[in-house]
Amino acid sequence: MSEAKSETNTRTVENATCTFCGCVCDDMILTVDLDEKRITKAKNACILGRAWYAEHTIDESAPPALIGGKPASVDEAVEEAARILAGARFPITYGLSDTTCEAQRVAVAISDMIHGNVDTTTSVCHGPSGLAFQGVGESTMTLGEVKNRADLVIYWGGNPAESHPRHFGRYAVTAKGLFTPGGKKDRTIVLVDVRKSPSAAAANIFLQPKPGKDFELLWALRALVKGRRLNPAVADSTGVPLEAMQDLAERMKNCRYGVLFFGMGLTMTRGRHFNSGALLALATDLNEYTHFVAKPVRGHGNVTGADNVVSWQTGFPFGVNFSRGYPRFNPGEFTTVDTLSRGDADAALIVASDPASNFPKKAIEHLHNIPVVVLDTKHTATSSLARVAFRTATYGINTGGTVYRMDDVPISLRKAYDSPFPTDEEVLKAIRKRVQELLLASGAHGAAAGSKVAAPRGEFT
Amino acid sequence: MLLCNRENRMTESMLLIAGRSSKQGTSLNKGKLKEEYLQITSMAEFNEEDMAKLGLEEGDRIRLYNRVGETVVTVVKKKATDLPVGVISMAYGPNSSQRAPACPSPRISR
Repeated sequence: MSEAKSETNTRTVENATCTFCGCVCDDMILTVDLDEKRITKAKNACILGRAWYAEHTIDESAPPALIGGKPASVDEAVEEAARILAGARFPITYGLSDTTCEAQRVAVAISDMIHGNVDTTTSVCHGPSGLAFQGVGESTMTLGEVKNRADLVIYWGGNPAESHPRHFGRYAVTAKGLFTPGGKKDRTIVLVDVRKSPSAAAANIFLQPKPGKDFELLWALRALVKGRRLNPAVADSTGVPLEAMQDLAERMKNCRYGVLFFGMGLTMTRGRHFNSGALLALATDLNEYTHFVAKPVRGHGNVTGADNVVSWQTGFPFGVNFSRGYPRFNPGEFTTVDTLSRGDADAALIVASDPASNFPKKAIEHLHNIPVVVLDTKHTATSSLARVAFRTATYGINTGGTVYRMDDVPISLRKAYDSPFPTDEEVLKAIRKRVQELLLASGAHGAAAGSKVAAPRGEFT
Repeated sequence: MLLCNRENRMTESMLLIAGRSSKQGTSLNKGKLKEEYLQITSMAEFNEEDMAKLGLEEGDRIRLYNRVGETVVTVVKKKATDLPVGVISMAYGPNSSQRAPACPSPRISR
C-alpha cells in the first residue's frame, strides 16, 4: 500500500473502548485502515487488546449466514431461526457476555416471548458470586475510587497480570490517584492464590493456600479481624502460617481504604458461593474498622452488562426460566450446563459465545442433538454444529452501543469502521419480530394455560 | 494419538486447575479452531517434584483421564515454589473444559 493511499484512507478513533475483558478500557486510540477494513494500531491497548483489534478483521468471502452449513441470506436464516425457536418446547438462550446491552435486552425479550430459558456466561464464571451477593450483600465501589483511594489491594484467586493486564496500571496497583499520588508506593498489594502466577511479581505479599482451602482461610481471617484466637492447626489445614494471617488481618483493619478483588480461583473451586460469601462477609466485617470493599474481577467485555440487563428485565442475573410465563431463578436447574447435560433443552439460541468449545463433554453432546442458532463474529466450534449460524459485526469495532465495566459503570462504544455483516442487535430484532408473527399466527398467544403463550410486548426499556 | 504405555503405569491422581494465560488470550482472538490456540490449551504445567516422582520430562506427551474422558497434553515444568505438589495447571480451553465437570480430579498416565 502506498503512503499516500494510507494517509487518505486512514482514520483515527480516539477514546475508543476495548471490549476484550471486563476492564473495558476506554482510552484506546485506534488507527484504522479503511481500505483494508482493519485496525492497524491500538495505542494504549494491552497485549490482549492488541490481539483483539488485530485479529477482528472482515472476511468478506464469508457468507452472512449458514443454514445447515450452506450459505444463506440473512432473511432466510432469520426465518429458519424463528421457526426453530417458536416451535421449541424448552428453548434456551445462552452467552450474551460479548455483545452490547442493546442486543442483550432483545435476547431476553425473545426468551420471554417463547417461554424459554435465558442464561449467560456468568453461570460458568461468577455465578456463585451472584448467589453470594443475594445472601451476603456487596460492599461495592467503582474502579475510580480504587485508583484514587485504595492503599491496600488484595487479589484473591486470580491472575490479573495475564487475564486483565491493565488492571494494575489503570486502576489498582501503579495507578496514581488523588489520595495515592505515589501509585504503588502508596499501596500494599497482596496476592492470594494456590499458584505463584505472574501476578505475584506485582505483590508485596504473596500467600499460597492449599488448593480448596480458601473458605477456611477467609473464615480464619474473619476470626482474627474480630479478635478471636485461632487454633494453630488452621495453619496446617490452610497452608498459610498463622503469623501471615495475623499480619494480613492487622493490615486490613488498619488500612485507610481496602479492596478485595476476587476471581474464578475462588468461585469455581470447592465451596463456590460459600467462598464468595465468606470473602464478601470479610469485607463487610472490616467496615467496623475502616472502609473496605469487594469486587469480582469479571472476564468478558460485557458480562457485567449481561448481569445488569437480565437483572433489570427479569429480576435475576442469570439462570432464568420463563416457561410458566413469569421469570424464575434457579441455578443448577436453569443454568445452561445443566439444561444441556440433563437433555432438557430442545433448541438453543447462542449469542456471542462458544459453549461447544468450553462446556463439559456431556453438555456439548446434547448441543449436537438439538437445533442450534448461533450469532458470532467468527467461525467457532459452536457455529460448526449449528443449524443456523449468523456472522455478525464485532461490538466496539464495527458497532456502537453500551457495555458495563466490571464495576457496573456503563460505557459507550465508538465504532471504528463499518462491517458488511449485521449487528447482533439487528439480527435478534429480526428474529424477535418473526417469532412474534409465528406465535400469533399459530394462536399460541392468548391460548389456554399450559400451552405456549407468547407475550409480544418486546423488551422492557 | 493415545500415548499411554502398555498398562497405564505411572498413574497418579492429581487436581487440574485451568485459567487464563497471555498466550491463550491472544491466540483465542485468532480463532479457537486455529492450531495455535489448540496447541496452547494442550500444555499442562507440572511441579518439578511431581515430574521427578513420575519420571516425566518437559515436552513429554501424557494422557490425562477421569471418569468423563481423556486427553493428551504436553508437559511443561514449573518450579516447586510456583505450583503445589499434586496440581496440574492448564490454560483453559477444550482440553481442560470438556474432560470433566467443573472441578476435575484427573488421573494421569504416560
